[in-house]
Amino acid sequence: MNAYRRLFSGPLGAIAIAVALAALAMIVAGVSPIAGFSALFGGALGGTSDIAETLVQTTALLFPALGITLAFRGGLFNIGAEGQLLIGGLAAGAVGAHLHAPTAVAAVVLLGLGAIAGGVWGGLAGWMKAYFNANEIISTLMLNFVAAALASYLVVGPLRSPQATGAETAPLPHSAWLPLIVPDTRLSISILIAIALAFLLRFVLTRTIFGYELRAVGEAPEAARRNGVQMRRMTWLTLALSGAISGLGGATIVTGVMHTFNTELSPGYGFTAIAVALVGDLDPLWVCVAAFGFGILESGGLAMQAVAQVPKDAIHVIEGCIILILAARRYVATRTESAPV
Amino acid sequence: MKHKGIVPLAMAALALALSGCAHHQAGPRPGQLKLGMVTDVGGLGDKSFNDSAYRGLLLSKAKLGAYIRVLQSRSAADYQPNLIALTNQHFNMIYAIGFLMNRDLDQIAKQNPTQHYAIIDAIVNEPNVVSVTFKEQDGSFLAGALAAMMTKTHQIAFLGGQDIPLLHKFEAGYIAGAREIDPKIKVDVKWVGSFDDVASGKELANVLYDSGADIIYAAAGKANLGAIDAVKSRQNDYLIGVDSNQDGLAPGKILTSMVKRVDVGVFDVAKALQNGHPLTGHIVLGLKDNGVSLTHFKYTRALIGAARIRRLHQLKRAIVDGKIVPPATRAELAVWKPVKV
Repeated sequence: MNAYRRLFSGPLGAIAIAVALAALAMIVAGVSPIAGFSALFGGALGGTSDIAETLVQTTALLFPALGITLAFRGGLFNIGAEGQLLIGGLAAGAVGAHLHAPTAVAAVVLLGLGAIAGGVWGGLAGWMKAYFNANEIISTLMLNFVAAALASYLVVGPLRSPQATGAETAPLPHSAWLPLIVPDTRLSISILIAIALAFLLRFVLTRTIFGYELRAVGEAPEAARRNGVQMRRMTWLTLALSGAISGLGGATIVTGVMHTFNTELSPGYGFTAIAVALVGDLDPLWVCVAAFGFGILESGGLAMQAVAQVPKDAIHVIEGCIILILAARRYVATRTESAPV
Repeated sequence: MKHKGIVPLAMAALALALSGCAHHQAGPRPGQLKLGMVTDVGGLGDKSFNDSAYRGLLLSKAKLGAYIRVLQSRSAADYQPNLIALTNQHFNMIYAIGFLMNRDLDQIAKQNPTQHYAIIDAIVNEPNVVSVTFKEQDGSFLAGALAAMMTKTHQIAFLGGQDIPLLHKFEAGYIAGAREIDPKIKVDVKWVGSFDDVASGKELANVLYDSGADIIYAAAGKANLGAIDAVKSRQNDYLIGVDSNQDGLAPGKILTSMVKRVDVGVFDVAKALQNGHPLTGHIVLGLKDNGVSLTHFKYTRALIGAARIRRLHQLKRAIVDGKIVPPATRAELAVWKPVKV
């Protein structure tokens, strides 16, 4: 019962307040909130193809959110999911364009490559943290820019398809596309991979020694160190795994949705995913639910723009409010806890 | 309970944000021409490409009484849902603004053979799609000729966004135009690597000026704003702008702008549709059709002088008459010879 109350006073409360604020703002802006929200939910959940599109957005957010969850649970603030996602997509796109193999083989190879590339990118920040004590907030954030610059250089230069009008890799052969779950939509099996991954992550965190050590490092690093946890190894491994999950997500966008790589792959999934992970209370299964909620906002936001003529930025305002309220709540919580009674 | 203050504050900010960008619009009247447009990730407010297309839409609204709708895209993954949303709402014409939409549009146009589409800057070979491209090399040729006439150091420069075929049209035309005036002229070429990196645009412009070039033709989208910033603080150096009329952004320091009339293309397509003769196939707009042009030297007429302006008019006539054919690719530039007119 207590857990539910915590959820309500935290994430769900934040969402409720944000929705109320959004409704109020719509009234001020002269759009009927009923029209706005019905466009939002109708667009996100109104029909099979709408739900499929919402799940496409859910998947894109879920991978980096799970990566972030892992890192945060281990006490590491990985805010480089955006770059890790981009590098994963880049690896899949670069190789996928020239990979002519049966679908199953191609999927394993490309998703594997995406995970490895993202893992290297995350591990890089982990290595710097473990051996040079570089603050991972700074290094993961800065590596986002390095990833963007590297990807931009490669798709303009060596990886650019001679046939493409713009800066993008050659399209993936059909055999390398992830199979669709619902025909005539963009919903591929990547959503199943993401959900399976969430269950796996929960199992690892709660039922394995590695997961126990990871949480121990996150919650009581000094105690973990004194009890023989290898802190350096734990640090780079956590960030590498976290990056690998985001990189895998990038690879699923390339193989499942875009079927090519260009630098316009993500509208900032890696950043929104931080909010998704926090709303999901850093519990992999709740993160799935949170990702679905944000998926509704993302795909319903496009519909709101198309039907009710509410600018697409309105959705970002709602997302921003949720983050702001959550952050404020956390801040207030720590303040009250530490205040002398 | 200090934190309660955050709620009204956030509410006010939200209301402000939304009321700032929301625009009221009644639904379309029966029989009214319905025009829909999907922007690329640059979005409205880029002072360049998308804004120019939007001006064409506004012109159609004013002159043709059209009902218009704009959907903005946050990432390349949004192109398809946005195009589908407009398709489902049965717009008479749907514009895809930007070359990266070509594959998505190709697929959607095949699935909706009775729907009219238009794409700017790319070619989609479907009977229900009209592709509008521009002879950027024509206008750039005149820009190059002007630069060669104005330089005191016999060294000029080209600053491009991304090193891709679309931009090679600007580059090749510019170099050819300069050689038309002075076959021995030195032309430096640098690439920003993106169309939105304003800081790099400024840095590279300064590098080009420092290495001896006194006139830069900057075709780098939003990164042009950086180059414009650079020229403001230089004594004897000048810039040539691109896409929209940028002359007023640094009066007197921007010799002219090579304007690409995306608005003309958008309007022409709408007008033909309303007249019952929808355009099809591939339409190329050049100097003759006002698709590209130099601005009217509002701030620099005295500096340039009547003689040079007469020479530019002479060259323009030669291009329109087909006596001069500016090169559109590097290969064409390599074999291009100045034509004495």
